[in-house]
Amino acid sequence: MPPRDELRAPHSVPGDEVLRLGFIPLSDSAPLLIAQEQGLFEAEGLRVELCREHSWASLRDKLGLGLLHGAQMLVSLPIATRLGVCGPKLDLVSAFVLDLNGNAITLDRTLYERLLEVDASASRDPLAAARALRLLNDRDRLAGRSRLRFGVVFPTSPQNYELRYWLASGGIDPDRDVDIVVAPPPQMVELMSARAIVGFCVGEPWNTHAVREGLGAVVATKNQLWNNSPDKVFAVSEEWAARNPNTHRALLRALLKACIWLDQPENRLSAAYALTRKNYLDLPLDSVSPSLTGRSLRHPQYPEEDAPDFHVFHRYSANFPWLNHAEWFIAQMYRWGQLDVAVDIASAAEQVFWPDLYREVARDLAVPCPAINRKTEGDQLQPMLFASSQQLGPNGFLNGERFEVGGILQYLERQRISRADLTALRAVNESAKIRQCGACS
Amino acid sequence: MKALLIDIDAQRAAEMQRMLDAVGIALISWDDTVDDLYSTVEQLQPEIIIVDVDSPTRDTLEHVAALRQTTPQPVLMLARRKQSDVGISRLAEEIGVSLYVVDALSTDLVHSLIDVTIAHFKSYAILKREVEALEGNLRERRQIERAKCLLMESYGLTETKAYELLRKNAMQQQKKIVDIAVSLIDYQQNKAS
Repeated sequence: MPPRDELRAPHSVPGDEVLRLGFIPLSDSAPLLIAQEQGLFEAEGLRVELCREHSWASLRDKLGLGLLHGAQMLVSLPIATRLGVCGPKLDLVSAFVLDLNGNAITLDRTLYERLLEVDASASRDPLAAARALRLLNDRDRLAGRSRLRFGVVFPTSPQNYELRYWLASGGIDPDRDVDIVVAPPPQMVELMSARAIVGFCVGEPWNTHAVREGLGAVVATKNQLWNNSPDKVFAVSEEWAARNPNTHRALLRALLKACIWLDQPENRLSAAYALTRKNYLDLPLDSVSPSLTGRSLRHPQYPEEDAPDFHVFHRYSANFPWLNHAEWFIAQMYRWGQLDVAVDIASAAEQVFWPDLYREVARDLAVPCPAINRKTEGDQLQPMLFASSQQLGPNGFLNGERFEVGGILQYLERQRISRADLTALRAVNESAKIRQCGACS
Repeated sequence: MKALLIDIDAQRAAEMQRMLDAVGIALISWDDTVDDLYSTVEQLQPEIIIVDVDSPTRDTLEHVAALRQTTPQPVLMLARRKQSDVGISRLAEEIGVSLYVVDALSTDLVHSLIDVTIAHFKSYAILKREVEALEGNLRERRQIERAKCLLMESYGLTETKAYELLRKNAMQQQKKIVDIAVSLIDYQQNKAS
């Protein structure tokens, strides 16, 4: 039966209209795929068509235009789109995080071996690897060699911010010392094999695939850079959300059920099977299954390692859209000069992430849910388990720094390599704080 | 004039080649297995880029456009009618990129599409510059306001007096008022921290 409000509202999607949801085939498109295959959308009275897209740009545009009703998206893409960073300004929102972690930085074999010559611990320690890379890069520059070139999947992608974070943690300025280009994920491996790039930051299964092919080795995983940080969200346009609140909520319930199912280790192998199919990833199972079954393949000659948190689909309150996570991504847009108009970061985060709606969805399914909207990052190296309410995973940053609640400007200030104009940012954010206090009293 | 063609299927590309030749536009086809889009755009400096709306190269193209902020190219996106019957014209307005749904191409159509795209791009670019200038002004005004408040609080001045003080300093140091305001704010912050 279609949800009630849609029977009344003349402009809304009628109960029998097919909802078009966009996705880009990746290991973490699993929640949409599983929700469809297991009939979880149907159980909510929804008819869904999954639409495979070929670029994040077209996914974004079609969502903004209403050609898609919802989509799997890079976590920072609705945020960037809302702010008009590196593209059009559209009113996208998200109340649901699809997964945490899941990316890695892979270097080609030659560069990887050179790093180990500088510092053998680079194979185990991403920070040591970044510092070794800086040394190599300086040496190469003096020798007159051309700049190292890396690939990421989109200008405002978490992958771009993660690669930059890693490079900068070793003292490399990602804009001045190296080149970063954008390429679609399936092309990364080809570019590396053609020696057009020496490394990339991309989601699974493309890191494992590059290692399986003997092309590269993984030097850092996303959970080593910032543990249990979000990677994909389910996004819709605000206009659609306002007109179809019940359909939206029903979609999120189906996705939440899919994520809970996916979080069980015993279900991961069948999810990997489903993803290998021709119309999805079209890759062999041994490229797709390791990361999904909690194994990390870092080097062609070494055995897989245990990595139970390589993909997190539900535990650690993974699906909750933390406002401070949105703030961190906005801070990256300032840090790397993509955003130069000062905005009030806290309210920008509140516009695009909707934790209250997630709470309603969680309540519908009696799933425990955080009561706060922001949390400190970088202060927990062990999981925090609370019996009744919520679970939080470790949240450490590679360089051991902290990002406190309400402390995004202080966090940004501490970044040594940065393009952010802090004077203007401080002025806008402090006056916003004062206004809010005034409104309270 | 040069047009760079990205991921338009072979049959359509051949059609367009014929038509664009007829109106004196040179067509450059881009082969993603051989050329790198960054250097292609840099070297050939096409006046317009024509791309299929579903091309996997669109993400790279956005980055190329973002890097070339001083001399970006207008982009014409082509889609087939089957994809879309809703709201397609909104894209042009909201995104500042032209998207057209065309099944059959004719010389006249292609030519006018290109004209419209370039004209639209130019007016959009002007608008964007104006908005940026306005935002810049706003930012400066906010900083001046803030510096004024600091002066009023620290020295118990009236608003007019505080502004006068900023203006006088700016004149003496031959700087803009906003620069004086920013250095005052910075000074206060350093003192505080």
